[in-house]
Amino acid sequence: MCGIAGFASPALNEAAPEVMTSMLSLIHHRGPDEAGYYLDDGVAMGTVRLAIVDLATGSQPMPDPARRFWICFNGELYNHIELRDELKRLGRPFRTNSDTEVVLQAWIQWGPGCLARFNGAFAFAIRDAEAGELFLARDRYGKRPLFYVDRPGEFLFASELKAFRAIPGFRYELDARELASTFAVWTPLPESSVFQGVRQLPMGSYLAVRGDRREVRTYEPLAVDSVPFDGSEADAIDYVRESLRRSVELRLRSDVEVGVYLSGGLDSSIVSRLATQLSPHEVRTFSVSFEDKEFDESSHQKLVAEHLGTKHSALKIAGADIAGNFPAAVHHAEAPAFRTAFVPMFLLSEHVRDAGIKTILSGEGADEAFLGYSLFRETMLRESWGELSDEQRLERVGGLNPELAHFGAAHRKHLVGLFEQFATERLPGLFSHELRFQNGRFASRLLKDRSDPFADILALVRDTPGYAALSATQKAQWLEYKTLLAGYLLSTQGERMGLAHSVENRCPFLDPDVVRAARAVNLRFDDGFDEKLMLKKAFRAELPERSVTRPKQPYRAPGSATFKEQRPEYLELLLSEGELAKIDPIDPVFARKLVNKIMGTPSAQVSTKEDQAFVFLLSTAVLHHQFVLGETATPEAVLNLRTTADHRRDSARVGGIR
Amino acid sequence: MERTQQIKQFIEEQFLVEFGTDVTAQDDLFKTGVIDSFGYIQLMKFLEEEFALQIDDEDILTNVLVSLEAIDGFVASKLVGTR
Repeated sequence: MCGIAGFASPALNEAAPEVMTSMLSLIHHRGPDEAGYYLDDGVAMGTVRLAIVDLATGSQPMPDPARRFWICFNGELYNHIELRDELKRLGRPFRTNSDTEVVLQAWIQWGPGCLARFNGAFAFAIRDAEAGELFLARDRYGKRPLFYVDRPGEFLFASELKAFRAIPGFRYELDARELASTFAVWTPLPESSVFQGVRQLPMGSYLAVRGDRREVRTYEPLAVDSVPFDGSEADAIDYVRESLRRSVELRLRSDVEVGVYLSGGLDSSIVSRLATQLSPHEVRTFSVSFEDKEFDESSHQKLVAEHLGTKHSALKIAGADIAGNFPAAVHHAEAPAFRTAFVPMFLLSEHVRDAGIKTILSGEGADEAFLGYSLFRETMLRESWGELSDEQRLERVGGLNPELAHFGAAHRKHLVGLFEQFATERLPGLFSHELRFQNGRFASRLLKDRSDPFADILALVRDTPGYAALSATQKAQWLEYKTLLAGYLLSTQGERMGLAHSVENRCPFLDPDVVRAARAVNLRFDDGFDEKLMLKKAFRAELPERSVTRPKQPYRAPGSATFKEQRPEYLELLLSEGELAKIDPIDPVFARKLVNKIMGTPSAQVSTKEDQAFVFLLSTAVLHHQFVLGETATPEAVLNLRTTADHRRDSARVGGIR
Repeated sequence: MERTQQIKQFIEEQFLVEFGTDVTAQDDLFKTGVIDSFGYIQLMKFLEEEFALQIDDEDILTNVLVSLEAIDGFVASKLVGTR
């Protein structure tokens, strides 16, 4: 795991070493073990490395023996051993034991066709010095970020967009349209960021840069359709078990110890269970617990840890911890957030790193693959609404979101009216998410621009081949993978919070074989009532009964109430009219109304959508303060520069690896 | 305060909207994002307490309370029925 950055810019050629060093310093947290850069005429790229596989010889940038191709690699290739064997048989030469070299040789052997063979979480840049090309690629589920800026005469890229601050003359400006879209659907869309001109390479894509030419290609479109599993239920259970076992086995490949995040839910319990079976050492598990009992799951975590015999460590989080660390976490997230749950993850990764662990397994991706969210049940319910009796409607509405008090038995009859409203499609292609997105409509009112905030996501689904033919549940699944999973859970909550403290997370549920298995068994066995049915059946015998049968508890953390109680100094960004007015896209009148209401209302009377809108507003204000106004000083990191290769013709320096 | 005005004021204060500016009395308050599941429960409680109504299953299952106009009409009919 690492961070990468670079540029293609003739104007920056002379200053390339200084600019590169500065870019890498800004993402130093992603790879504090060593750093290196490669310079060519008008092109530069570098890596900060978190050494996990081949600690001794995996330094980057890494060339092939002929020194034509150079790679900067961020991530892990889990099937590197199998690919190395295959490439060796084809005659490719290897000098190291690193997965980075496997990626490089696979690229040389197969070109972009290698990407479909990769089972990993990665973003990388390869320079072809002979052809004068630069290739960028990103893994199929968008686990590793890759931002870029493409403007006349200049192409910039980096794992985190904060690296662009090192580019002379670069300015961050919030993009009103992208901000509106982000508020509406809770996350930037796959190709976007909330800053003007800063884009992301979408999941499953690569980009070629040659002079002024750009080519973006999708090498693997996200697939959610499948053929139903053709076999008995017992066979299907074996299929699920074996695909997950193999996935965990691959993700335990590491030259350093691998820990596990244990939330107390089904998914991380399964990952912990498999890790205890497959790991060569005693497994250490880590979790957050909350002082606020409403959010705390520590008893479930303890139950599983004791059952499995892991060495467990829980970090207790108080409201003051969330309020105190919110700006730092937003700085790493680089996107507005609608809830605070990423802050405890930021603190947990620090806790894990302090324990000497730099690689962790997590259960992310399970809910998307095995239809774990209430959103999927809700979609099935609304889709079949017209065929149900009043009693059936009452019964099924009451089973959704049991963790939310207002969904309880006393109120379920009222909710029938709500669901009635969403039983027909209004936003073409977004039926499954309309109920959720209505909260986004409210948050969008925080912005001056009142044009349609759903225009971009409507265009995305309209232009995706095959999307229209999917079932409502499959559309829901596709949207979850493309939006919330990649844009929020994996990036903001998982990847970015982990690497803020130099901890890499690996997600067994995002193995292509696991996703394929899930799709096939869902189609055949899912009953629309019991979430993650086949997953539960596959692991029921190996986990405490209570862990398998208890209702799903989404991971949540205290929201606006925390800021109200703690009154951190930066809350002034919202309480001062002058500060609010500085944030150009924000409508200060409505923002003030919302802030006044939140500050003056008992927390129990603040609705979910108001709470989310408040956290969106506060995180946007913090982002604006840090990036647009540049008020956050980022200390220059001391880089352990191990590899510098300077091939600039007009440079006085001697080329080669130092 | 007259009934319609009371309901209108509750919605405006509770959901941070202005009738005539942000929404109309005929607008679907769900579809415009004014009311969510939590807000809907708040609204029902308000109607029950403020107008001493008992909203039962049948009311909910046969009436679609989506706009100010519809909510107001529903309350009016319930009040007639209870007097």
